Amino acid sequence: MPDGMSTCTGCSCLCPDIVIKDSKIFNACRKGSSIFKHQDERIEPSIEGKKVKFEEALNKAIDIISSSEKLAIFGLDTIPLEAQEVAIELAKKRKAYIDDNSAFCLGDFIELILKGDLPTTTLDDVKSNAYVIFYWGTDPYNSLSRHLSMYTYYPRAGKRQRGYEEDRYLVVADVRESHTAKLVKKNAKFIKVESDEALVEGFLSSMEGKAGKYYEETGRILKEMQRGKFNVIFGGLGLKYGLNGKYGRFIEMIKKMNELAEVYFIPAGFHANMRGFNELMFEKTGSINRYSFETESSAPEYEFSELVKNDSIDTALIVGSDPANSLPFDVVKKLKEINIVLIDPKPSLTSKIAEVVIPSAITGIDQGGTMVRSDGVRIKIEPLLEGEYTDESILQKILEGVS
Amino acid sequence: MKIILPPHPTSIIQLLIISKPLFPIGRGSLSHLVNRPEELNISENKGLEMPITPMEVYKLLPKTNCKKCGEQTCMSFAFKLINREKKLEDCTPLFEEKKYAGQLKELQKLLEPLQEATETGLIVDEDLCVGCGNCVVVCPVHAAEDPKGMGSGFGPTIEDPILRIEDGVVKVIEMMKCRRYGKNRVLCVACRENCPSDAIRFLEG
Ligand code: SF4
Ligand code: SF4
Ligand code: SF4
Ligand code: SF4
Repeated sequence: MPDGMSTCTGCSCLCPDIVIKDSKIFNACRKGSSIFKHQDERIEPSIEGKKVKFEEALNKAIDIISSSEKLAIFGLDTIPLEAQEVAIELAKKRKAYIDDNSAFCLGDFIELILKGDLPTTTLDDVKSNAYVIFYWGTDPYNSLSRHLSMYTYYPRAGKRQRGYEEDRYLVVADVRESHTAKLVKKNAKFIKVESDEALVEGFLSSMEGKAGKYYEETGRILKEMQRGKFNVIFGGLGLKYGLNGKYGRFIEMIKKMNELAEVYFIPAGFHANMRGFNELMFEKTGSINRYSFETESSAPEYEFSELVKNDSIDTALIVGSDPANSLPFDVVKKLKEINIVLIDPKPSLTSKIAEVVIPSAITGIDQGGTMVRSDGVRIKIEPLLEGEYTDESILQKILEGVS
Repeated sequence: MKIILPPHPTSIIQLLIISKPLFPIGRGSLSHLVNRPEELNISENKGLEMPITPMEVYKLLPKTNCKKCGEQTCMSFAFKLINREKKLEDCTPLFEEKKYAGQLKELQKLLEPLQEATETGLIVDEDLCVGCGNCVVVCPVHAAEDPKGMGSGFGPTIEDPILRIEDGVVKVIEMMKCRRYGKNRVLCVACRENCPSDAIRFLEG
């Protein structure tokens, strides 16, 4: 790998300061650095497990997709916007289903933001302005390791020059004392949540001057929010599953909080460009995921795992994802029965069961492109080296090739 | 000055009290300590090896204050031993006089962790580190010397940070810059306090 600077696409933090020198990776967290470290472990083009030339694999993929009757395109969260755009075109042309991981990840929050139901801000503004930094149902230390040090609690920037002890107030709400919760010391609060809904109600009662559940914590946090003027809540999977699809009261809580002080919401984080896919889909269809270009609508039964489970598809084009690893066992069993075309740079469980494997590139290493950070900011990523194939060019060839 | 001990006295406090007559510890740092008693609970050491205290070392020394090591007292020697300013070999009676053989053996065992520590006593456990960068960004020395880089959350833009993240884990680069060491040491625990996985510890607490 050549020396240089790059952006890490290990998660939606998209850390822009990765330095590669003498094969050493500087500044990236463990997860991010392993992408760079093991970048040369690549997959070969293959058909039914046998190694073939790249063009052969590509042509076979075009054949399979052309002759499919019910196609789903899935994954897409780790590839740049430019490639996602072509994938969506392809789904449209083939009247296919298209979906990513967001339905069981934080897609709901992204949708609420895109629809304007939750006020949001950027991580850069958080860095310069935010006082109360509130992690709700998420443990960024383990999944988005540099979130606190790069963007939220620790950096000194803008109006927050005096460091975390004076200029920030950390709140962690979680069902257990996570790693991130261990950082709650002075000028900070940890709330061990039994029910996220109850905590929402607690905040609402507190703002109405009533002593509800979590009275002490909510009272203090609201006071700090008033003091800080600019505050942010990062919601994670714990919050999503805790609220169980009922977002009305949560939205109301944030609205009421904003009568006291500015309080913004940002989804904690996910795959590097999941938000990008959701935004593109929203722009083009009004829905963020689980979409059918046949019925021109989105529905829960169009979620990829549902499609597989219910035998609704005969072919899956999987891009930059490893569903054989992430889906439940019984769904994977069904996945093996359909035709799979995989576009991915690395070997995976899915590559073992795919009919056709087409090797692609890793964004930030051998392909560039645009990705959308967890806060919605579009980041232009320059590659370290020029790769032979990119997700975009592969998908473009398939789009042109299929009838 | 009165120092209020927390329920579980920690070695840091011992270290400060003991060292007070020996070294000029900035007034600021001590009053800071007294004003924030909660910060004193720092060396609970959550299941990690207990830190070595000067008292433990002192007990095993000849306690003759013979000054052969160049220090006025054995206590002072003990303190400097832990801080790497002196070597055990500097206490020549320990090695020359047979009657200290047992103590010498115990001392060598006690001081073993000094070997795995960096020159100035900071130990990192790479296996526990995920490279979150909290320690790098929080360090006051980094913030002062590299405000646009580490102070602002990014990787270092200076050549010789105290700590940096290499291949996904923390590495000690220039320990001598750490505020805990040298003549004007102050009690700084920022990096360790903000490591959620206890990947950083200090030899003496
Ligand atoms: S936090 Fe995410 S983007 Fe940043 S270095 Fe780690 S994996 Fe990469
Ligand atoms: S040489 Fe040994 S015995 Fe003598 S003062 Fe120093 S530590 Fe004590
Ligand atoms: S103890 Fe303080 S000065 Fe020393 S490395 Fe840690 S944070 Fe920096
Ligand atoms: S704070 Fe701890 S886990 Fe994070 S980089 Fe430093 S040593 Fe590693």
